[in-house]
Amino acid sequence: MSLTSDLLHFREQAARLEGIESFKVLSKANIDAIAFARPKNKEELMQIKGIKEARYRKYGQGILAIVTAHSVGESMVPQVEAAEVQGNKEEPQTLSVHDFLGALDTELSGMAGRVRGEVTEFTIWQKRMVFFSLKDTKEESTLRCSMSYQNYLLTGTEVAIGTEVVAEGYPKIYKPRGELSFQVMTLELFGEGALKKAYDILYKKLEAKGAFDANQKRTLPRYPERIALITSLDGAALGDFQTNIGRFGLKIDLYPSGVEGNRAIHELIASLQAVAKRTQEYDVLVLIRGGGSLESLAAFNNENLVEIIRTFPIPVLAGIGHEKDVTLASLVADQMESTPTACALCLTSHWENAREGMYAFCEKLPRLFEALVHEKKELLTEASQTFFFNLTALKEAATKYEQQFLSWVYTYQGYAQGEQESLKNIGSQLSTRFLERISEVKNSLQNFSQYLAQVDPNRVLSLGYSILRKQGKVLRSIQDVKANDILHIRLADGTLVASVKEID
Amino acid sequence: MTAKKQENLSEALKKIQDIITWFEGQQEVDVEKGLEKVKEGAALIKTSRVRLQEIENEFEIVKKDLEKE
Repeated sequence: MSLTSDLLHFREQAARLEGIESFKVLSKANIDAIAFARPKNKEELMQIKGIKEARYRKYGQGILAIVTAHSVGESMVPQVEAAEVQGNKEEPQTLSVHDFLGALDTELSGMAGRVRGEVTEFTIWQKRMVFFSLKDTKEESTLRCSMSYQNYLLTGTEVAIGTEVVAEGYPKIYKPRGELSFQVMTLELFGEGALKKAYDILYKKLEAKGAFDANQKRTLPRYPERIALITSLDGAALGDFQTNIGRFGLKIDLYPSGVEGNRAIHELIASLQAVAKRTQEYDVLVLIRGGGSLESLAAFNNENLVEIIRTFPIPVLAGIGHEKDVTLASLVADQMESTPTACALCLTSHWENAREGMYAFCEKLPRLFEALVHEKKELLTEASQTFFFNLTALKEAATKYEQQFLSWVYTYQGYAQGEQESLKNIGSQLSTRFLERISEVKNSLQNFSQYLAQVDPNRVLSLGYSILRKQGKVLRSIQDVKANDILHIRLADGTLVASVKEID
Repeated sequence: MTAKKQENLSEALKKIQDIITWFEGQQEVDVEKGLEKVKEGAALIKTSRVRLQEIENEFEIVKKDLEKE
């Protein structure tokens, strides 16, 4: 093993013990810098960026021990052994009590472990710390334990005197009194019976809250694209999920977390919180692990975790394998599947259908298009027919009106011609009548001329007739005349005065 | 002028009619008066014929105008 991988191992171990994320112990950049510089003492280590007094106090000794182990040609040497090597090589050193206890503390910090025992003397101090002792049931051995109240709450375990528990943590020296104390990071009930009982209690509590109600569940997005995945890097769950998720180009961000036992609770909650901060980036949260016993699934029946899942800002899909009872985390999730594989298939089923639908659609598309074109063509034909029909009708109407108009024109023309004709007739009649009248007048004048000739007294007189008058009166009878009457005789060219001699 | 002439023709024809009437109604022969009437009638015939000729000429002009149109 390389120095870097040993340092990474150290980091993971420390993070797990403290219940924090590993980068908070040391960043990858820190580790690379340490592996490169290989510091031999505190001063050299402190020169590396990011290593300050506080961090040195916590991890400095351990880091130096690993580096030293590597510098003497050994690899993968646990910190404890490295310290021993270091100790053997150097002259016995006189240390102050503080330093000695400090060194001891550093050594002990590598001895993390899981301890089973019965709880005695259980005290909660100012809601900050929990103190209790673990005692073996058979042997007279007692281990004093302390735990932060926060971590205690996190375990979701109800502990009382007499409860048999499994505590996980690391030993620590309490310097003012030089006492050994077991720093408990996590705690779980021991035995299937106790776990089952705790499970049942929490189940009822959640059921009463309506946490399992169908109307509390959100529907998973039909086509999830961005997935936050919480699972362990170890184990088959991740592999199964990856194998079955298919190639749909989904964005899957893995938030690695321990999933085994109640000690996984810290990492699980840290991962959930990390996802919760970035919910804008995800469509769904997927929580998976393989099947296991009630004990190994303890974290998924933890009240705190269940509560976080129940109120998670985005839909949660749980695929937590189980042997007997379904984990409470699965029950409160928006959807649960029995295995990680089922989860993967559930997430991609619609994508798969969509893909198939798309292939089918690709085949159908040209036909759909043709049908559409055909339909539009028909519509167009129909429209143009209608148009032409209307156009024809319009034309016919126009022709009809034109004819009507022309007929009017002809009528009026005929009428006008008739008028002209009659005018002409009138004119000719007029002239005929006029000429007749003229002729009549002429005839009258001729007749009158003849008449005048007839009535002209001169003409009669010139024929030899004469007009006799007696005392101015025209004589028409012999009776009116006596002898010796004086008569005036009118001839054509003059008048005679004569005396009547005798009357016959 | 034309109106006067037309009137004249009508007047002349009326006068002619009067002369005829005069002759028809004459009981006694008044040679002088008759002669006067004959003279007058002859003059009337003459002027009437002239006037009639004028009218005929004018009519021809009018007729030609009408036919042109």
